Parts: sequence; C-alpha cells; structure tokens
Amino acid sequence: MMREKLLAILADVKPGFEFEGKSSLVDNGDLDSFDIISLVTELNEKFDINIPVGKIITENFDSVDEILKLVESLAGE
Amino acid sequence: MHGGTARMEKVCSLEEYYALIRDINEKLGAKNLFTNCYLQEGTVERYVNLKRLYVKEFDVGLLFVSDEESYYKGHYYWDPKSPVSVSPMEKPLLIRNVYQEGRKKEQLCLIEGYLKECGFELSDSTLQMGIGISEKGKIEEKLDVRGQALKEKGFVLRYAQKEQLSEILALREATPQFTCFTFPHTTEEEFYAEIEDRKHLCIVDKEGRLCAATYVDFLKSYGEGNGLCVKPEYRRGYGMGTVLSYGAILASFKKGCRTYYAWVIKTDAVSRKFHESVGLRLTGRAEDDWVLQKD
Repeated sequence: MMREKLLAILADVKPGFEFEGKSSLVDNGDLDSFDIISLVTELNEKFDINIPVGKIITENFDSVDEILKLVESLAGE
Repeated sequence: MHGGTARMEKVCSLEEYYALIRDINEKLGAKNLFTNCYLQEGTVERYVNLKRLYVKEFDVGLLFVSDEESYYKGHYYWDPKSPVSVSPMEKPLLIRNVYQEGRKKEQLCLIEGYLKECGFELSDSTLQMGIGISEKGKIEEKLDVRGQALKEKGFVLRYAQKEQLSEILALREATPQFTCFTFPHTTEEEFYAEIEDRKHLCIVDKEGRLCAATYVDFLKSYGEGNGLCVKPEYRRGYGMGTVLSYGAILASFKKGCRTYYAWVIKTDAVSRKFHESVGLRLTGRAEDDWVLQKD
C-alpha cells in the first residue's frame, strides 16, 4: 500500500519515468535537486511526516526501496 | 510572513546553514514549509567562503540571500499559509521558482500572491529544453557538417583560452538579451578555473578574434548551457549559434553527462525554434523569475 502510494507520488514528480528496479537515481541524474525538493514536499504532505534536512542525502533517494525505507522510518515516529 | 525589516545576518559556515534549516523545520514542521531552495552543499560552501550568503529570519520562515554582485538571489523556506512581507533591499532581489509547466502547486500560487503584494514583478518565465545522450551520434554528424562549413568561411569552434576572458565578458556585456540576472556572480579566479575545465566554448576567426561564445556547466549528471552570444555581424548566415550549441552538447556528453539542458524565454518563439532545430525538446520544467526592485 505504502509502496503504491510512493510510486504514485514519484510518477507525479517525474511523469513518464519508470522508477521500479532502478538504482543510483541521484547519481544517474534521474532525480535532480529540484526533483528531490519536490519529492520531499510531497512525501511530507502525503505521508504526514517531517523529513529532516539531515535525511535529505543521496543515499536516501537512490532507489524506490531506499525512499520507502526513509518514509517508513519516519512514519513510525 | 511578517517582519520584512528583519536584519540580514551573514551565514558563516555550512553547519550554520543546516542548523538554520533544521531549526525552522523543527519550529514549523517540515511539512508546513515550502521552498525554492535547491542549493547543493558545494554551492553553500562556495557562498560561505566568498562571504556572500546571508539569512533573514522571520517568525514563520526564513530567506537565504546570496549576493550575486548586481543583484540578490532569494532562497526561501516559507509557510505558504502565512502572508509574506519582504521589503526592498539595496539591490534588486530575484526569487526564482521552479515548477512543472501546467502543474503549479497550490503552495507556490499562494507564495506568488504574497510576492506580488510585496511589490515583486514577474520578470521572466523560462522553459527548460533538453537532449539526451542517445542523440550523441546525430549531433556529432551534424557538427561535422556545420563545423566544416564554418571552417571554410574561416572560423573555428574551440574551447576558450584564458586570455579570451575579457573578450567573452565584453561580448556578454554587449548582448542586449542578457539582463543583470542572467549570470550569477563569478570571481576572476572562478572564470579561469571554468576555462581550464573547458566550460567555455567559442568561435574565433583566422586571427583568433572572438566571434561567439557560450558557457556550459557540468553538473553531476547533466550539462547546462547558458549565455550563448554571437557578435551582431555574425548573427545571420554563419550558423555560429548552432555550431556552439552542438559543441556544448557534445562537451557535456564527453564529460559523462547523460543529458544537456538549456533554458529559453517562454515568449521567445525564435529562440525556442532555434533550440528545437538543434535537437532539444521541452522537458516540462519551467522557471518564473520574480524581482523586487531595489530600495
């Protein structure tokens, strides 16, 4: 459920891009700084979380799994 | 946001920059804040080292201001539910908002409303155009043909040399399409480093005189072109802009970038057509430049 919601958010941030199965999203330029900021705004809003600035690092946004891990860790707080 | 007269304080370290964001996040809740702030760590460090980064703190947000010499650039973390009140400063203040064309967020619309109320005016709307590395072969072929044609007329495309810096700056200065917001502040040392990194391309005549120039920044995974300018006498019939664009695209791919981007003024159909002819396509990303004139 959470994964589907995340995929829908990602599709909204970057329409037409297939995120599933991709890694190194930031290093490969599939997500740039504007995408990440947009994504953070959406994640905060849609999952009712507060992603702290210290968590906005490449490793947390490099794949759907990593983003999901970040959201799950904060959703429980 | 109230308190437009709040004093600007210098940001003295990267740690302080992050602490300020952390504090405002904690105070207001990250989900209540909207930002146009895309400053990377290296960029913040550069501004800090140059002593050109300031912050204005308010009850309901904060505004980082980078001093770009001829103007200030604002990077905000604001609560869009609270009205903004920013007063004119001693230099024009530019606030650049990036969004997906046709899908502007409600928070951004609210902030734009506050900006208008403060006296900001929409100075420019630009659209991003891009081309991917899959087009590399085609661009190489095109550059072969167009570059040869230019060579036959006595001109060559090459990376700029350090001694051409003053000529490049003079050409930029004489290009009416460039406003004071076109280029960020760059020190002489940085210019020379950019030239060494082959970020400046130019076309010169037989005597080595500069006829046209462009700049391309190589970011992590993409190249971004800016400041393409051609001397008035070479603007028609030579194809210098096209050759320079091909050169900038290929220079980006050579540096490992997978995409090359350029920005065109939304209402400038000629520029858009030109970029399309080079092979760039609209990406859907747009930027609005809001300017508050100086005090």
